[in-house]
Amino acid sequence: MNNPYLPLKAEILEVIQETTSELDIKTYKVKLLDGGTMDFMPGQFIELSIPGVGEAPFGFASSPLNNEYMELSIKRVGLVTEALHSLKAGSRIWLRGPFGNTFPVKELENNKILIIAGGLGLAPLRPLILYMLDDMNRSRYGDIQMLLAARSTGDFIYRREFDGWSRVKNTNIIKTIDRPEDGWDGKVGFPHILVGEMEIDVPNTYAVLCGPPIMIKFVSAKLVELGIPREKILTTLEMRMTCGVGKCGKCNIGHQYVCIDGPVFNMAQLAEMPAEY
Amino acid sequence: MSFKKQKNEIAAICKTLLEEGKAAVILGFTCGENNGTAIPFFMRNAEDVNRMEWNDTCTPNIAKYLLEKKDGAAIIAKPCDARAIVMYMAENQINRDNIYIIGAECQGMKSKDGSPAPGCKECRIKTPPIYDVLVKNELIMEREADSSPVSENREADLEEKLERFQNEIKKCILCYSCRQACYGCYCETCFMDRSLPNWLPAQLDTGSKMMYHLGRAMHLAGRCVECGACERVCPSGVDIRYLIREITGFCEELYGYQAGLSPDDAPALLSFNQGDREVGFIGEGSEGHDACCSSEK
Amino acid sequence: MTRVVVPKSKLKELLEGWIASYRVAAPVMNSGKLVFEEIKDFSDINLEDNLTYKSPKEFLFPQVEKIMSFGDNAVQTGTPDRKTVVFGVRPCDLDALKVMTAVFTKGKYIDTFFEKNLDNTILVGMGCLAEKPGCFCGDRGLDKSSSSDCDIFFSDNGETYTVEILTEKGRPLFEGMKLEEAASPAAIQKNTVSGGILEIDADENTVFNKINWAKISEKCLGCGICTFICPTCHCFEFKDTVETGEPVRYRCWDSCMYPRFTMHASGHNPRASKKERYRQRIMHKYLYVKKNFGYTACTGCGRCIRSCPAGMNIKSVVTEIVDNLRSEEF
Repeated sequence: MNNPYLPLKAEILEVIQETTSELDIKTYKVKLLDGGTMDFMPGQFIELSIPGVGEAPFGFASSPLNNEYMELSIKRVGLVTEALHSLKAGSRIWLRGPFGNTFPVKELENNKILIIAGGLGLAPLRPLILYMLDDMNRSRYGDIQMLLAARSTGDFIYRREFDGWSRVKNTNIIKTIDRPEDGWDGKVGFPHILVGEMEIDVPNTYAVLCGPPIMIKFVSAKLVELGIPREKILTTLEMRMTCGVGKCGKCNIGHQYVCIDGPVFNMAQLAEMPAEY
Repeated sequence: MSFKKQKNEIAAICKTLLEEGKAAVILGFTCGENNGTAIPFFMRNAEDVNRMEWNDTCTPNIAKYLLEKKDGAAIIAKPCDARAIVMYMAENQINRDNIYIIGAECQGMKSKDGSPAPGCKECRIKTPPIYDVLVKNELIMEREADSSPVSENREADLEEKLERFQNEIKKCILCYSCRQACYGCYCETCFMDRSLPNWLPAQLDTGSKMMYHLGRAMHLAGRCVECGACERVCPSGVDIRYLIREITGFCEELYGYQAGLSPDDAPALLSFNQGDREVGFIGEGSEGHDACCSSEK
Repeated sequence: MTRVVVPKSKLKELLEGWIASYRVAAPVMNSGKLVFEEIKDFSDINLEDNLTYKSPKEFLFPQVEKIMSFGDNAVQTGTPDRKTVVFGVRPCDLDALKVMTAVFTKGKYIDTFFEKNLDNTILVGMGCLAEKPGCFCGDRGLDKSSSSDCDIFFSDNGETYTVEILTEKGRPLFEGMKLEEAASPAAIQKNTVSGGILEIDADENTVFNKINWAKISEKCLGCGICTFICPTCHCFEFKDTVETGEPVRYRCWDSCMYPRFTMHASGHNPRASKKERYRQRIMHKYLYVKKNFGYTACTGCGRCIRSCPAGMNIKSVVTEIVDNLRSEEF
């Protein structure tokens, strides 16, 4: 039987500094030493090990259709990420995965998609975005609207890609920050307010959200108020994990394990689960 | 017999407190279901008070529950519990105004096998140092300090001391029950739980255990109230306190300080006076420490 | 299944044969506590009708297990490949190992370290004669005198043991021993379980939200001793370190009762207080494992009840919950 705990060796190809604020987020382009990339779908995650330091779970942040490399966007916040942030291109890390469930890409077909992301929450949604925007797939999805929020201009990730995304047919991006800044041409305000001002074709839209818990709470409440059924509001959760395969007892919410039954859930499912996350 | 008299008196006080609405909950003891040792018990009405127990098996130190009772509570405090409460006051952890202390003089608790419970054998404080009402026990006897059992440890040389410590600590399984039971261990994040810096080594070897027990002993320097709760909850029977007792003895010798006797006393290691001796620091050297600067007091 | 009679006088010969070929663990009295330990001598074994202080789970799931070292390629180490016999495991512990085996080896992924340890271990059970204070295996639906969740099962008949050889894995232990076949099953005293089984059969949201967990968990110290000695508790953590220049990974027991168990690096903690952690412990054992793997993860061994310094009693707690739920229905 495959040992789910054995990681594969990988190399960091490039490190990109995403944020310019005190929130230190870097994107790592990585490649497995043998085989290039893992076979994954949007929503899944890997466990990244730095030998001698530790292991932590991170969602894929790159397109599943990219066969050259994988990307992970990681905020410096604790023991493992601190060590990771000191690594440069050429360094070795270890990955195991892919784990977790996926965004229901088939179910989303022929629907309009509303993406709402706050800060680092855009990272686990990027595989889904790139998957849908890809030439091969774009026509299978309806209009795509994205509301991308960050606390300040320095807190955005992937900002260099937004223009490219909005140039894709029937794809529209609204950017917003919390407080006005000089030279900012996007919106100012919180996502849960701004989403009320957007034109949403409620009966035909799926919403996908990710961001700080408070953002998810208020935005999903607003979307429900606008009439989008809870089953069609998707999100992805994060939890403290160790094994990533449903054995160590760390990441459960009720009887469901975020590493196996998640991390992708819809609001209807979350409403049925104990509020412990 | 005197425990029984005390119990009746305490029960009467508890019932009055509850009737007069002076306390929403009273922390006390009741019979354990299995092995006869009393267990902590939270009383909220007269029926609860009828189930209260007060005897020589009431070993748990219940002062720590006060930290969670933010709205206040009453507590049946043995002298060691009362000392812990005094320390909580000195360290600004509780509000004295919303705590009602039923002080109970204690003639000593017993372990399951009839011998004195850890902490009781060498206990010198029979009357709670703080209380709102005192329930006396005529069987208590003032007792002189035994010649410190740790003095033989001080006589030993470094190799012997290390060996003794390691042999004792081998039994430890690093379950942290002692930390959870100790009144003084209330840090929101214990040093052992920090990942940055990462104090706790991965293996469960003697090194990790030494690190934990030495760290805890240092953090309890001048704060231990000698209640013995740590040893009572230890599942492996480790003699946890012998180094802590030695440090407690140091504090008494060097600074004339005993933890938990008076809320007005500043804890020894939380304050500095000009005349404080600095054994082991600069100036006055003890074995192994050379004076690294000119001797200054 | 073969059934043989082993006179107590022959036990020494039997066990010495095992000691010669396997690592044998059995109950031993150590510093006043009955524990499972590796034995080299038959005379070390303590066969009194008593339950060990800690459970034998550490032979399948060690407290600290070096699972891998990072060289040029990750190398799987795991516990050394040693054929082990654990002798004298009581029905409660056998039931617990059955639950643990389900958790680790069923579902989408298999814990290969546990699986290997299980493959290398022969479990030899022993029935209990009397209940100990705190035991409630009967309420959990177990028969303290018999179990088939093992390779070999001993029943004490006074002068002899009746031994059931239940699996092919256990058969080699009796090779070469001349033993008579046991009489028909009627010779074995089986206890029937009367009354209902203690379990929680309710929607998890109701149990999560409606029960007064703050009051139930008031006395708990959060010391975690219950999870250490519990035969079904299996939560763990990875700890990475460097040993003589080589990065290694250890798998260590962890406890849901510890404050930092679910602490995120960001500082967010879904179970920030005692009541949430105690709720998790009870619900994990009585609801979640049952939902995911089909078994309640509590066998009524009573160890947590006997060793809790604050007198927490899982049987009373669950009984109280069941009563509360029943009364809410009216």
